[in-house]
Formats: sequence, structure tokens, C-alpha cells
Amino acid sequence: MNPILECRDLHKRYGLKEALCGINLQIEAGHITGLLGPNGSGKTTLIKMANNLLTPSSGEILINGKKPGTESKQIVSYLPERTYLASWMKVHDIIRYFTDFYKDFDPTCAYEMLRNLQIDPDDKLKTMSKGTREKVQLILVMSRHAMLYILDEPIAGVDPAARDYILKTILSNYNENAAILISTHLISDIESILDHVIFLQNGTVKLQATVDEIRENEGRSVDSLFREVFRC
Amino acid sequence: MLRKIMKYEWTATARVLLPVYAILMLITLIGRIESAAGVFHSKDKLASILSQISFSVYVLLIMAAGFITLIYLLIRFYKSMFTDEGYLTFTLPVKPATLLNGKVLVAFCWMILDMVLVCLSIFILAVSPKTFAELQKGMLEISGELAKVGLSISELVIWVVIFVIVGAFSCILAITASLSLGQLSNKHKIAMSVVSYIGMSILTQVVSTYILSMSSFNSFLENIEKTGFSLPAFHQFMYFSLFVSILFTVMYYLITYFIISKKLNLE
Repeated sequence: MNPILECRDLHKRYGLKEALCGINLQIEAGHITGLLGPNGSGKTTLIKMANNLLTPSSGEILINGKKPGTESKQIVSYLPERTYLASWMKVHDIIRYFTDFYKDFDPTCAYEMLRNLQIDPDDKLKTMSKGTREKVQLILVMSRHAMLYILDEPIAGVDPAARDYILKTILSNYNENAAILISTHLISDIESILDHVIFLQNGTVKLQATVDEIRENEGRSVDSLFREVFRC
Repeated sequence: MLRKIMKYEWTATARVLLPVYAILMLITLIGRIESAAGVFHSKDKLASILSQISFSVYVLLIMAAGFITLIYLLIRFYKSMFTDEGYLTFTLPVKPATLLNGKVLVAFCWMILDMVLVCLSIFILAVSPKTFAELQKGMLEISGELAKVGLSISELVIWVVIFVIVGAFSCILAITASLSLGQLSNKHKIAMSVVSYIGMSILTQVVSTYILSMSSFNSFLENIEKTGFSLPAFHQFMYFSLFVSILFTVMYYLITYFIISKKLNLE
């Protein structure tokens, strides 16, 4: 079986600056992987390439054995680190939009989560706070039965109570054949749900291990290891 | 998928453009009622000032409708493709070609609708019992003149329709191509779009003048001055102009397509 996400000697240059320098990694189905690293380490660049929003300078990135394209977009559910919904739309409209375009989108699931987080589907995005908008996006992304969820900073803008609900949702919504890749700075908040971690630094993979390995070998949490590895 | 893309593109644009056209038609109707009530021929000073103002507003509105249509289509394309919304647009499981075709076709419909409504509006304001008779008389005169040089009025109408269609596509795709070229820049996306648009316009002018000079365009103009209208020269001129317009339109399409499928550079 193909790994769900694979990078082979992946490079990305912006002009003279090299954002990613030879990334090699594999993500298998059934795991939650944390993509961790300081600002500017290349996390978002990597994620954008997996979603075909950027093209590699050299090397390749494969989703389920294929280059990113229309097929990969059907199986990847992507949460960008910004608001990508048109502000004049109502939540209802957006749900209809997702139902129309993504075969694996489950509107019942989306409406249930909206109810639980007390978000009115008749509200326009424009009238919502930034945190609420982020919640709506996360609900949309997690309401797909995708094979790979890529979440770029999913909890950065929401309050701790909603954070717990969202993490619970992430855990309960994905099936064991799917994989999740989460990029974040807030390691301690999500550490409990991670199986694997990848540390990125200056465009290279600094460390790749399971959370259990880190706890056994290093005898401490991912959060404290991160703080040491990336000490300024 | 093309149908779905077009459906959402239509809803997104109609929200702004339909009210604009509704206002245009409303003002047209008010003008029509005013003129029926004889306001425009009234001796009353106030009424005559009012009628002049409403006429100026009307002319401005007709121009504004076309301008707003074009500007809004431009903003919509830019926003949905190259700003944050692009993150959703480009992660839909839709081929870049389908995305582009859907957007361009909807934009085309709006431009045609704008032209049709402006014509309709002028017609509503100008129509009177005598209009049809006058129109018929005028048409007969024109077709009589055209027949002398061997050109039928239906042929002329077909040429106009073809050039309106090609012109609308060319206008839309020149905008999409320059916006796409502009977003290749890492820092000055909008400035680069403007520069690309100007650059492309100059290039288009130079190349089309060059190509037309190879046709009998110049001799066509000379002939008109010396020996009068020549049908074969007219045809050659029209075919060449059409060829040049289509050539550039296709080039604009390919530039846009290449950039959004291979060179996407979202911030």
C-alpha cells in the first residue's frame, strides 16, 4: 500500500531563498502526525505543495502515490491558516457549496457540529468573529470523509473550551484508514492526540519519531523536547 | 463540474450586478414615464432643468453600468483566484481549465447582457409610434447603399455579431491574463497586473498592425479613397482582423491557463 503522503527529496526555492531543502518523509494511514517547527521553517510551504497551491522546485510530493491534482483534491481535506470563505456567504450557502463539490462531504455531520458550537447556519461570515469563522472552517473540513486531513494551525485562534471540543471532534471524526497532518505551535495542547511528530527547521527534517519513542528515549514530553531543540 | 462552477460564479456575481441592471431599467422606465408626460417639452423652467438633469444621470448610468460590470468581474476573478479565497477555489476537485472556462463563460454572459440591456434601455426611451416606420426606412436606405457595393445587410450584421463576441472574450481574457501575470510577482501583484495589461496592449497593437500591413489593409484604405469600396478587399480585411483578434484571445487564454495550472503563487 502507498503511503498517503510521501515526499522525495523535495525542494522549494523562492528566488534565492530556499524554503525547503530536500525533505524526505512518509505519512501512513491511521496516524495523527504533528508537523512542528518555528516560524519560517517551511511547514506551510510543505502543506501548500501537498495541496497543489505551489509547485516543487525539484523532487516530488505524492498523495496516495500520485502527484497533487484533481484526484488528490478529492481525498484531501485541507484547512489553510487563513480565512478562505467569501465573507458575503451564509453558513448554509457554504455547506451547499461543499456538498456540491466534495462527494465525501457530510452535511448532517456539519449541521450537528454547528449546533454543538452554537453557530447559527443563517449567519453571514461577515458578521462573525475571527474565532467563530475559524470554527466554521474547521467544521467544514472535518465534515468530509477524507483520506488525508491537512490542518494548518487549526486551533490558533479559538478559545480553550472550543479547542477541547475541536480536538475531540478531530479524534472522533476520522476513521482508522485516514491520516491527519497537523501543523501548529501549540504543542502542549495537541500533544495528547499525536502519534507521530516531525520537527522542521530551516527547510529540513530535524527529527521524525513517534511520540512514544520520544517519551521513552528522552523521558520527556514533545513540548519540552521542542523547546530544547529550537532554543533561541 | 463546469455547470457547478458556473452556477456558483453566477450567484456570486448576480448579487452585485443584478441590482445595477435593475437600477438602470428603473431609471429607464422613469424616463419613459417622464417623456410620456411631456416633461421634456414643457415650457416650465424647473421641469426643463429637471429633465436635463435626469438625462445626464441616465447617460452617466449607462456608462457606469458597463464600467461596473467590467470592474466587478475583474475584482471577482482576482479575489476568488489570487487572494485567500483562492485557497478554496484551487483546492476544489476541479481541473484548472474547467475553473477558468466557467468563470470566463459567466463573465461573457454578463458583458453580453449589459450590451443588450443598454440597447433595450435606449430603445425604450426613444421608441414612439413613428420609430418603426423610420427604422424601416433607414434600414432600406442602408441596405440600398450596401447593395451597390455587393454587401447585404445580413452579412454586415453577422460581422458585427462575430466581432462583438470575439471582442468580449478578448476583453475578459486580457484581464485574466494580466491578473495572472501580476500574481507571479512576489511583492507587487497589483502593480505588476497593471504593467502586464499595458504591456500586452502595446504588444497587441504592434503585432496586429504588423499583421494587418501584410494583408491588403492599406490598399483597402487607398481603394476606398480612389476607386471606392471593393468587396474582396473588405473581406480580406475582415478575415485578417478576425484572425488577429482570435489569435490574441487564444494567447491570453493560454497565458492564464498556464499560470493557474503550473505557476500558482498564492501568498
